[in-house]
Amino acid sequence: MKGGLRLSFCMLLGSFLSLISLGGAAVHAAEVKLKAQLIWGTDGNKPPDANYKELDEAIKKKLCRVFKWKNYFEISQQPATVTSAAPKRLKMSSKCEVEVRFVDDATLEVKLFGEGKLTKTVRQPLKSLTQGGIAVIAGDAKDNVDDAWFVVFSVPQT
Amino acid sequence: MNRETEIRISSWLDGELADSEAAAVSRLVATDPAARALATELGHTRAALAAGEPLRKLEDSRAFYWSKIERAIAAGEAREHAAADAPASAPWRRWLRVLAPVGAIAVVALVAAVPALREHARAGTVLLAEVESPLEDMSSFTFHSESEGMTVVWVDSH
Repeated sequence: MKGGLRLSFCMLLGSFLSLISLGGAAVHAAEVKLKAQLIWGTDGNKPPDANYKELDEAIKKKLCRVFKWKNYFEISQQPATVTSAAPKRLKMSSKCEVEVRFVDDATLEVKLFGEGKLTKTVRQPLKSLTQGGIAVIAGDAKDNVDDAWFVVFSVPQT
Repeated sequence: MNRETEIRISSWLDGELADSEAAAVSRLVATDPAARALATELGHTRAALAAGEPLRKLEDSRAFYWSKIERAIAAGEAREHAAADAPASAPWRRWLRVLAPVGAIAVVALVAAVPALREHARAGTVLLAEVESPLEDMSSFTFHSESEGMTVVWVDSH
């Protein structure tokens, strides 16, 4: 009798644990490793006192083919792992921040903050980024209308 | 002497020309040595053929010969009618009659759906969609570069 009860209990416990693990697996957490870059576009040379970096060739080629400026410099770069659990806020510069979150498993939402104020909210299908595309929010520079700023989002291809 | 004149001389010998034209060819043959030589040669050839052609004699009488032909024509027509009225014997033919129009409709539907499918596929991979622009002094527009795999939201603050 004792042995029978023990066996029944083990079977019940095993079933219960299986149910929990299966239920856990069914809750799929979306996640993406992103790269956000703040880029300066200009026809002039790099300012001597600025610690801007040379932009990677792949992104530079894309920008050169679409936009008019001759030179593009990376002001800052922020890698980020974004999950569906919580939004990710990235400080690109003293005046520029972005917040990235999952709207659903297939869509990212990006909020752009300029000088602390929400400037723009855009949504991007995740698929286009994971397939090698890039998403760009850009505009004329406030201080110099001949120059432009770009915030570029991409998924590093491993 | 050209080809047309040779044909006219041959027709003259066969008695196929109108009176006025026959008189003209006759004068030509009388005055032109080349025309006369051709007329002579054609005349000899015509005589040889008429003399040498074997006489074919039918065993059947004229009426019976033509009635045989008439019966053969009637039999051929009867066979055609019978083939048109007879039901399709092979089972695959019956299936083909049913499936052929269904298949045609399916092909038409598929062709009509291709643009929609492309659009759906494209929609799944692109577009930064602008959701919110809270600042009143700011306008923006979105464009996509298919060749660069880049979607841009340009923010205009001036």
